[in-house]
Amino acid sequence: MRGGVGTGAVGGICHAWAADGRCISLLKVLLSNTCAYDCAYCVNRRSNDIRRTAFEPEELVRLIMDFYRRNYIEGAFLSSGVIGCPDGTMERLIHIARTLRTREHFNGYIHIKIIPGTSERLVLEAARWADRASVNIELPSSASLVQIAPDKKPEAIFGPMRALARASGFESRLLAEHPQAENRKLPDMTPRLASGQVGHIAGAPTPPTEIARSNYPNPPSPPGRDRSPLSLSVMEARKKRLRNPEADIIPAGQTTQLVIGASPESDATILALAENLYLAFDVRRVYYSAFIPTGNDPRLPVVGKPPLAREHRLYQADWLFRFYGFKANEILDPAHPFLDMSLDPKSSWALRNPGIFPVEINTADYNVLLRVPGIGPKSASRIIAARRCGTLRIASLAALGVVMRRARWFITVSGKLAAKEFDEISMRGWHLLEHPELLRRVLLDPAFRDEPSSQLEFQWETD
Amino acid sequence: MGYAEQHTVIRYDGSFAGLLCAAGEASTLSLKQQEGLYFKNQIEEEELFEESFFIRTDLGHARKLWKKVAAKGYATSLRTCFEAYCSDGPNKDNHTGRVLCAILREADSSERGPHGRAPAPGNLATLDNLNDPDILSVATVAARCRNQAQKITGLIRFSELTDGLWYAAISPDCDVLPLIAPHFALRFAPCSFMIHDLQRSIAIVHEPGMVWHIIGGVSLPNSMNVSDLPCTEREFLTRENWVRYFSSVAIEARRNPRLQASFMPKKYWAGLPEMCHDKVSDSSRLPSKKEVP
Repeated sequence: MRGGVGTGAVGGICHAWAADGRCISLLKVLLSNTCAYDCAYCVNRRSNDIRRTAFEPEELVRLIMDFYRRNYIEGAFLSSGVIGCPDGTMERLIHIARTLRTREHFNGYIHIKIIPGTSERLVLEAARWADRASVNIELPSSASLVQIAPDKKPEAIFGPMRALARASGFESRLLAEHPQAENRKLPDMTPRLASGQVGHIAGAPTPPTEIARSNYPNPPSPPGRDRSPLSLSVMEARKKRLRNPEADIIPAGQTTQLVIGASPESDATILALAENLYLAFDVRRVYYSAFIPTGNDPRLPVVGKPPLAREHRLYQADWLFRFYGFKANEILDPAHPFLDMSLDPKSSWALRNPGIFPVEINTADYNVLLRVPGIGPKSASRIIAARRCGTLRIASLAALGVVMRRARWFITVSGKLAAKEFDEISMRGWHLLEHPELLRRVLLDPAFRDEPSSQLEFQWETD
Repeated sequence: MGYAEQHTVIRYDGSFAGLLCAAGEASTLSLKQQEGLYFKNQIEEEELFEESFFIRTDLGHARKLWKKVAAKGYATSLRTCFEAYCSDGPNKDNHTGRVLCAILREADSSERGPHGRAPAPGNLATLDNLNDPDILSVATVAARCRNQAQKITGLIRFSELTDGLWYAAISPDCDVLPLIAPHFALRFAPCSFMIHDLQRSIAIVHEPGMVWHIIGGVSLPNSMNVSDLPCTEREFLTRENWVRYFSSVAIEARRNPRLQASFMPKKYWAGLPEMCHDKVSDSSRLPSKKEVP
């Protein structure tokens, strides 16, 4: 908009960091904490006896503009408790976004929360004014949703999600080709997809409404690099997707969020769900929030501390989807339904798959380099670039950003193992790859070194 | 600083254009002569037995050089050199000058390459070789400067003065003003604002509908602090609201002040109302006594 205040910045800018260390870049307020719904994990639930309050739309608009002009914030995150009905609430939020854009000529970032159950027309209207929109999936299975957030139906969540995906020009073509698509809860999608629309590519190993199942949804696929489109990783699927940051409708796409630790689902279920969301709805990010108790609702487990470590491991696994080309069923499988709390997911994967190691630094492909613990996208591309100039030596790897503490057990450099010795244990100098248990101890974060490792897992669940 | 006796010192006037001109001059020398060059700002003191030349700054020539080299795919390399020049790294003049010289040399040779080779497509073609101490130093200090500029972009706080100017004061280690100016000029295009670097007494000045400028010799009147500037009443109310928002958005169960301080080092706190909010609540009572126009 010409003559307006504000710009978007790719990647966003952090304007402050709160006392919990989280970056503050948006003014994130509820229009009202009045709520007609009764979600057990939420402090604003209907049954909770708290003081209710609300903004006048004009008040909020002024506050956003005042903060933005002083460079306190990067934009606004508009959300609200459900005031009356979803559509009514959504209309109020849209009114604020529209006022900001049309009257205040605000070009900054607007993230708008879609209230579950909003009609498609209003979802699209909201998407028109926002940079990003999001519908919270809230819980990893519909069984938990019924129990913990009874007012939010899976259809009310996936409907808007699908509308947003379509609004930003995304159609999951492969959904229709997949035989299991018949079992989906949202049958109206199939005929349109079957008519041969040229959608963007997405592999969907299972239908998106997998939320209906609480057990592990993905059948384990045979090992090896299966190249059929149905087994595309999130990273591969995204690579083929065209994105327009200048688009008129939600240029920053849609995201979603779910609560971790308020319901009994395994990490495997959560990751499989997240992968489906990435593939089937072109969700840009899935956010995992550790459950923080807000009063004693009998529907929820009693937890001492929020499962922050589990949240952290899930985010690490999420990164493996998006930047490392991992698939959900590689990170976890039915035999290992939970992430190892004392070891990062990539190292765990490497320990379970010693077959592909050691990797030769001077010849391996980018995708193979990415699989080595201690090598990330940045150091992998630096290795590829530096290889053009000459053969790499062990000594130069650390300067390229490789974390040698982890990587050295998994690589060879010009045919030589990078780390052979482990003198305290053996005099013979054998390679640790042949001894996963010892290797595991070496890879543990220092904080976990002296602990009997397996006992640290899921301690909040046994409480 | 210590440099070998046989070094020839090239002095420039301290501006980036000057450094570019000096590097341009140097790149015409033979490779062996270039090896022994040392770049110095003219304000640095002369050493005993120093053999030095002063290169006059020609803005037009510098502009031409920049355009010519950038067009050959070295735009990012030049930008990195500029960031290194803006940084506070030790000996940055010498390292940046030598790297600029190498870039100009490479750009020249790619033009008349022996086998008619196409110019290197990579943006960082020259800066890839981190084994070279000059390049390593330039890459390191440029990254430091870039990161600081990025951080300050978020941590600048404008205050609405009674005369309608939006004023922000910073005191960064690196000279980040030229790096952040385009961002703010775009974002706050319809506002007249000033970002004041207190340490260097320079400021970005922007008026609506005009291009931004960096002007020198800007300082507050004697015995005046940034907090003494006359702000509007709304400014204090907004600050209070912001501080309230800031403190309530932190989740108590996740409290982690060390993480907070690692993202937002204490050196920046002075300019942030949310990190020194006792002062704000005190000063917010002031304008009620005064008359606010």
